[in-house]
Amino acid sequence: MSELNELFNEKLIFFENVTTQRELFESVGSRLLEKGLVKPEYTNALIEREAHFPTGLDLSVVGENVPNVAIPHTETEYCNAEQVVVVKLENEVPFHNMISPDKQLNVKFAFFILNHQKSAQTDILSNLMTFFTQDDNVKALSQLNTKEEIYQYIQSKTTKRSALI
Amino acid sequence: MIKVLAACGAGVNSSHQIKAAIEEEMKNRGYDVQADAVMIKDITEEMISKYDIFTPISKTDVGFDIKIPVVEAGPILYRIPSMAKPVFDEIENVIKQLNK
Repeated sequence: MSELNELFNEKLIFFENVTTQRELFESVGSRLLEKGLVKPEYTNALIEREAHFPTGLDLSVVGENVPNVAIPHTETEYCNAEQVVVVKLENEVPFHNMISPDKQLNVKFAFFILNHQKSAQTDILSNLMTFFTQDDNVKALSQLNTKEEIYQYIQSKTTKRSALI
Repeated sequence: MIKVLAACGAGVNSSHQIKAAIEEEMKNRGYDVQADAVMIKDITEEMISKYDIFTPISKTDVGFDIKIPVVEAGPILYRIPSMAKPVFDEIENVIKQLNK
């Protein structure tokens, strides 16, 4: 299984200027389809799944002024790859809360989890959660202005130390 | 052995993390727990009858009455001990009441 840092790619970091979740999913879905990373039904599956099982994460529990994130994903059958796609939203977009679906929150970053192997991805979410909840990482990300900076920051925080020695 | 059924929307990310976290923590607390992870839409009355505890990511309507204890496990996902502890404590209480 891939280490978390290997699941990111500088070409899979996008800045989106949208106002609704649907616009976001349609825009990211078409980019991913163009790259062959998802199946044509991916966008609809994403919209459908998010409506029933939302993925917004309230990070106010992590610290003050930490922007919220969401982790949109589908069932494995709609994906062709194992990747994490990072989307910075120019304007925050409302999502429902993953663990309290009746609550709404505004999201600054969406981390789309692509997964085509049902057996292999147990750890992606838990490793992402560790990233979201440590070192003010999300706050730091929101202050970066280029895709390269965002990519480098994520790499610096998700690469296992032992691999760097 | 206590059997736990974890569930989320896609049956991949969240439910697997809930399953792994519950197995690990309950083992540390001295219980023999085995958990499975499924998609909420795949759950049937027959499936759930084979388990002792149901731990969905959040309040969940599966379309029928659930006859086993239900513990909402979403807060575990944050991997923040103070958020996970109440969920684990509740599961441990349920296990004690099962008296297995």
